[in-house]
Amino acid sequence: MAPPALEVVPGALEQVAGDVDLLREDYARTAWDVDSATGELNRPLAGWRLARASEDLAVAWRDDATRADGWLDDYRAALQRCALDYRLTDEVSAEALAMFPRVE
Amino acid sequence: MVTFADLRDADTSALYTAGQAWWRYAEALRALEERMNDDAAGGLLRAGWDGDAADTAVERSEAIEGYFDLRSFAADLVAGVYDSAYDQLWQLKWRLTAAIDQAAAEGLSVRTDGVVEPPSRRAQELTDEIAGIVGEAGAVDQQTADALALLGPDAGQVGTAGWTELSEDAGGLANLYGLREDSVPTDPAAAAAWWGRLSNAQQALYLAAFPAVIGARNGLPVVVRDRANRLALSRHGVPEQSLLDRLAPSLAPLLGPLAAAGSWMVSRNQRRLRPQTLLDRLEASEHRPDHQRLYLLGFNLDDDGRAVIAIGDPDTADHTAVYVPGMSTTIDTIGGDLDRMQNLQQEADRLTFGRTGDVATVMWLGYDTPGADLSVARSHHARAGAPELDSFIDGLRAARHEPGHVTVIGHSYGSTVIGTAASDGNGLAVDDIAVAGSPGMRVDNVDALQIDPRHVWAGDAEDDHVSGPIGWFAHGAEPHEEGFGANRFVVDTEGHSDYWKRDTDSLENQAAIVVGHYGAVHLEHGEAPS
Repeated sequence: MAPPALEVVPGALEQVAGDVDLLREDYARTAWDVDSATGELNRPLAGWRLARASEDLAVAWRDDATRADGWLDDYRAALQRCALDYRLTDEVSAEALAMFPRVE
Repeated sequence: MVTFADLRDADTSALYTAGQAWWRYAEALRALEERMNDDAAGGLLRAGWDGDAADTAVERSEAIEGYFDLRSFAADLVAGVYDSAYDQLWQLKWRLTAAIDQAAAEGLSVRTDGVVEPPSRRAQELTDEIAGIVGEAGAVDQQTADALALLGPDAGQVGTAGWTELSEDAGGLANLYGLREDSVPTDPAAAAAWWGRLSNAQQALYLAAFPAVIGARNGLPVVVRDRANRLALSRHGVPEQSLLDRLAPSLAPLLGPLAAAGSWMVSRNQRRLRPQTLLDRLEASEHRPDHQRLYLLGFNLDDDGRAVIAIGDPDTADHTAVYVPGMSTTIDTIGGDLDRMQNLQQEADRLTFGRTGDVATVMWLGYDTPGADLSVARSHHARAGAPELDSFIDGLRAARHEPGHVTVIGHSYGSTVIGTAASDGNGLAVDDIAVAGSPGMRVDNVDALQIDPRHVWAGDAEDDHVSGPIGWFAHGAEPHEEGFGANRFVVDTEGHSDYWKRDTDSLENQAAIVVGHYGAVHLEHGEAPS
């Protein structure tokens, strides 16, 4: 049976990790915008049930966004760590191979 | 409880602002979903990363992508709730202001509790009117608060659990707002007009609350049906694998003489995985260029299953080909039929000038195909499928803003379905009919198809054994025979299954029909339209 395919591209992983980080920032910004618009309903609609429900809604979505922010950050970190491991493995392998004397 | 002063002093524009913010958020979530698809999973796949780690990374990326998709549906619903509240409350506030102004004009004043004075019959009338308006505002407040309470995402609810939660929430909202699935018109033209009349909020709620109905309804826009069907499919999830399912692949070869039992176990497992298999295929297409994207226009996972899948968007394409497959096609075997339609789309697109993507093709497994048994010689599968095909094509027409060129293509028994549909009622609303490997269309000649005979095309390979005396006995005259009266296009492929093979005259001739380049179709006999 053929060994499973293996192709490593640490540069691409670092690139995608960077993209995920940018995406995470954009997500945080849009989540903040909607959080503000929802939370602010209490002033113009003080005393309304829907204003209180909006506050609860904003809290639930804020918590959810915080969780997702964590996933994105973990994913970014995992990709970077993977890229680093690939590079380190390559260096270690190169050093191991360099231990053998050059045949001349 | 809402009071007179609450409504009088309310700044309802804040609800509009909140609604707009949530619509923008839903859009932003969809954009983030696309970026996870294009930049993350797509970036990793394009780079050629391969191995166990790569598989895991792509899977994790797709899970986050699914999260954004799920939340975009929910954000649409929140936006709709705020829009609805705004629409109702600004009108109530306007009516309240008018009542206060009326009281002032009549020399009356309104107290902070909404009572009009000094007491008189007229003052009581105005007091009652104001109380009614405030009561209506209170009902809107309660309805909106109840709706918003449904839409807070539960901690950690993603994946199938998240889709189930969304389904329950949307069902609850539909109840609150009095939306019913039986209010969706069944006639394609009526459905198209009905959808156009709905507000964004109503569209979002119908889609989330009744995705199976919206996804299947002919006449609604392709992108809407695709989104609804994917939502409906996501809700199916993948049922827990039973011990029997887990053992099926290992036991099947060991069963020997009990092969039927073995194959039953395998197909049971295949059915279990259908939703995920179909979703995977659709999602894989998202890494392709836009015009090669797959749109799910209908599905049914019961029995042999059904699926209607477009390659490219028929609502915007200049030319659309609807392919009706033949016997023994099931939802588990549609891969080959989709490949055929991809070949046809690419070949047809190559023949047109201008933008890429002006041709869409549809793999229409919208009927229960006969198996490889005696049922293939009978007409009941065709008779049952014909009205479904007719309605689907009417729907394609109704959903478009401008007329497009539509060709229906039948393979094998699929041509029998087309013949049955075209010869019934007022026929099929298509510009061209093409068939290949037809065992007969259940009509004596081309005149019965209710279309200019020059727009009926048939191809048949010399060694195709499906057409011939057996077919004639079962389904009548064969359309490729000269006496039938249709154009016979040149076929250079062999057997029953290669009519859509790349780099063949068989494919190129059909592509020319699909884009209306009739002069480029090589004919054995007949007369092409000028």
